[in-house]
Amino acid sequence: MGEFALQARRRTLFVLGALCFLSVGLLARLLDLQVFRRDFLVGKAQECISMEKTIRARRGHIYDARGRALAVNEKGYVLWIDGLALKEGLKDVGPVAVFMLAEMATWPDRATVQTYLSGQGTGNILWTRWLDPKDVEKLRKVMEVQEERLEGIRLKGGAYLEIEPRRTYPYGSLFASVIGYLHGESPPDDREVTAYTATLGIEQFYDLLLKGRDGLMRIERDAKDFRIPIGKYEEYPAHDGANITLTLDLNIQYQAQRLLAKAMKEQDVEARRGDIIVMDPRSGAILAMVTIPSFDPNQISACANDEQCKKLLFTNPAIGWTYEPGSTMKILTIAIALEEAIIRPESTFECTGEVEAAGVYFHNWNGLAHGHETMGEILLHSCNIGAATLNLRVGAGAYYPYLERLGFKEPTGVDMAGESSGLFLTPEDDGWSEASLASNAFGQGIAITPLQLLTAVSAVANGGNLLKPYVVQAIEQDGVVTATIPTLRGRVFRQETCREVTEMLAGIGAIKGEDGGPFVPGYRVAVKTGTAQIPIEGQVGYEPHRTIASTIGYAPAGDPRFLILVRIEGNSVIWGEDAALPVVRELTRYLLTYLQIPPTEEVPSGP
Amino acid sequence: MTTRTTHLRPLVHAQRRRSILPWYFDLSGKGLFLLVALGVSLLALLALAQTGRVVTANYRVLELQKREQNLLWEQEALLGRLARTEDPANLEQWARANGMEPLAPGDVVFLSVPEKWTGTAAPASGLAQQP
Repeated sequence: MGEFALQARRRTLFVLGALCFLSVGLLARLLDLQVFRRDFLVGKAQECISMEKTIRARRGHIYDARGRALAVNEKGYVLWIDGLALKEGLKDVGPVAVFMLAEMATWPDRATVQTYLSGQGTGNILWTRWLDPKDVEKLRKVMEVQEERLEGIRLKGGAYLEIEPRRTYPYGSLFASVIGYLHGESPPDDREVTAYTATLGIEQFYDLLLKGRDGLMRIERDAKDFRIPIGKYEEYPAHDGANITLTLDLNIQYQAQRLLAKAMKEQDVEARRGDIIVMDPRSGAILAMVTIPSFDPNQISACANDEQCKKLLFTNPAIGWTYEPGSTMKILTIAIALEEAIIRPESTFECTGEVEAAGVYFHNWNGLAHGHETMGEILLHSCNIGAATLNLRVGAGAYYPYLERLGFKEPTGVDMAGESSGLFLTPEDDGWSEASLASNAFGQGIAITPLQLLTAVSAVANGGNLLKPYVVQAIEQDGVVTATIPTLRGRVFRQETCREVTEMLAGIGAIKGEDGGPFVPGYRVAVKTGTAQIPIEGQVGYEPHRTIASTIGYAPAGDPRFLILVRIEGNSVIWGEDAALPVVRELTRYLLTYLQIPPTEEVPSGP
Repeated sequence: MTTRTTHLRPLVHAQRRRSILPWYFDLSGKGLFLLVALGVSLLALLALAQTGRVVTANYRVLELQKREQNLLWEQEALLGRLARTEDPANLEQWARANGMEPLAPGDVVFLSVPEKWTGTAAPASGLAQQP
C-alpha cells in the first residue's frame, strides 16, 4: 500500500471517527432531550401554548312576584392600562386621549394616575371599572381599535377594554336593602377573573345558588392567543346560576316607598329614617319591604363619604336594627292576658294615671288618667297603666315564655342576610325587676326588629299561627322550579283570642278615618298606633326630643290579606297617629284596590 | 363442442389474470416513484383539506359563539330596558300627564255572583236551535 493510500485511509478513518463521535454526541443530546428532560421540556412547551380560560357562569336573575326583572347582568367594560405600552404609545394617542384617561380614572389614587399618564408606569393597572357606554365609544374613536374580540377590545396605546358582566338593578334604590348588591374587587395588576362579593339581602343569602359554577376551557393557542383549531381542547362547561322569583311586588314596593317618602317630608322637622313592611299574614310572604334612606346598588361608591349610607350597605334596618316598639306592643300584651284568661274582652279597668312596680312609677304618655276603661279602650287610648297592670297580673313566669314563643329571642329566619334577634331581660338575668315586666307591656325595655314585631302580630291576625316570613317565592334552575311552602313555627294563641284582639283593633280602625269615621269605608281594618322613645346610646334613659312613630294595621280584619307596619324615626318628637297612621291608611286603600279585595261592610250611601 | 367450466378461487383468479396481462403491477422504478409521489400527494391533499375544513368549522364555531354571546348580552340589555320601562315612577308620571288618576277603593265596583245559580240556561234569541 502506498503512502498516499495510507494517508487517505487515515483521513477517512479520522472523518469517520469524527462523524461517529458527533453522532454519538447527537444521540446523547437527543436522549437527554427526548428521554431524560422530556417532562420538563414538554411542560415548558405546554406553558407556552396551552391556556386555561374560565368560562364565567351567568349569575341568576332576580324577579319580583309578577316576573319583572329586579337584577340582571348587563354588558360592562373594565378599562385596563398597560404601563409600558402606554409609555410607547403616548406620542401616538395624543393629548385628547390622555385627558380622557385622566378623567376616567376612578380606581387608583391620583398619584398613580399621574405616574402612568407621564409614561412612568409599569405593568397592568385596573384604570376604572364600569365605563359608561358613551365613554367606550369615545375611547374607541380617540385611541383607535387594534383588535376586537369576544372578551374585550384592545386599543392602540396600551388600553384594553375588558368585557365583564355587570350586575345592574333597574329600580335602583327601591329594592336595595332587600336584594343587596354585588361588589367586584381586583387588586391592580391582577388580570384574573374578577372575584365578586355578594353583600346584603337576597344576593348574599342565595349567593351559592345565584352565582352557579364557573366552567373551564383548556386550549392550545397561537402567538396571538387564538385557539389552534387542531390543538388540544378540553371544556368543562359552566353551570349557570338559578333564577329567583321574590314574593315582593314592584307596584306595592313603589307605593310604599312613595308614601313613606311623602310622610317623612311632611313632618315638621324632616324625619331621620323610616321603613315599611307589608306581609301576607296567611303565609308569611313579604309583599314589600322599604327603607328610607337607602342607597343605589348600581353606584355603591357614591356612599363612600356618607357614614349613614355606609351603614346601610351592610344592614337592612327592617330586619337588622332593633328598636323599642312602644305601644304597638300592647297588641301582644292584651293577647297574652286574654290567652292566660286573666281578662275577658268585656273586663274593665280603672286607670288612675299611675302604676308602681319595684319602686318605679309609670305614667301614661299624656300624663293623664283614663278612668274607667274596657280592654278595647286600653288599646284605643294606648293606656300604659292598663297594659302594665295586665302584665303584672299575668306575671313574669307566664309572660316571658310567650315572648320566646313569639320568636323575639331569635331571628325570624327570613331568607335574607343580616338579620338580628331581639333583646330583653328575663327574671333569670341580672338587672331584671318587676319594673321591666311592667315596661315591656307598652314596648319599653325590649328591643326587637320591625320584622319580629310584624311576624308576632301576624300570629294574632291569622288566628294564632307563628309563621316563618320569607321573600323568595320560587327558585328556577335548569328548568326545574322549586316553590317555597309556608313554614309554621308554632301555634301561639287560640283562634278565639285572636278574634277578640282583632275585634278590639277593628274598633280602633272604625274611628281612625280621616273624618273620624271608618279607616277605609266598606272595610274593617285592624289598627294600632305607637310612639316609642329612643334609648340614649350607651346611657340609661331616653332621648327627650326624639321619638319613633309607628302603626300596625291589617285588613280585612276578619280574614286579613295583608299586614302593614310603618315606622318613622323622627328628628323631633313625632306621634304614631300623626306620622305613621296616614301612611298605613293610604297604603291600605291602595292595597285593597290593587289586590281586588271586595268590601266586607255596607258603605253608607250619602243623603 | 364441450365446454368445461371451473370455479376459480379468488387468488387463483388473480394469478390467472396476471399471467394473461403481464404488465399488471409490473411497474418500472420511475413509474413506481410517480405512483408513490401521487399517493403521498393525494394523502397530503386529503390531510390539508381536512385540516382546512376543521379550521373553517372552528372559525364558524367561534363566530357562532360570538353571535350567541352577543345575543345573550342583547337579551340581558333588553331585560334591563324592559324593567326600566316598567318603572312605576315613569308610568305614574306618564299616566298623570295624560290626565289619569289612581283608583280609590270606592271607584271599584265588585259584582257579587250568587253561589248557586237558580235560573235555567236557554239559548239567546236568534241563535239556531240544535236538533
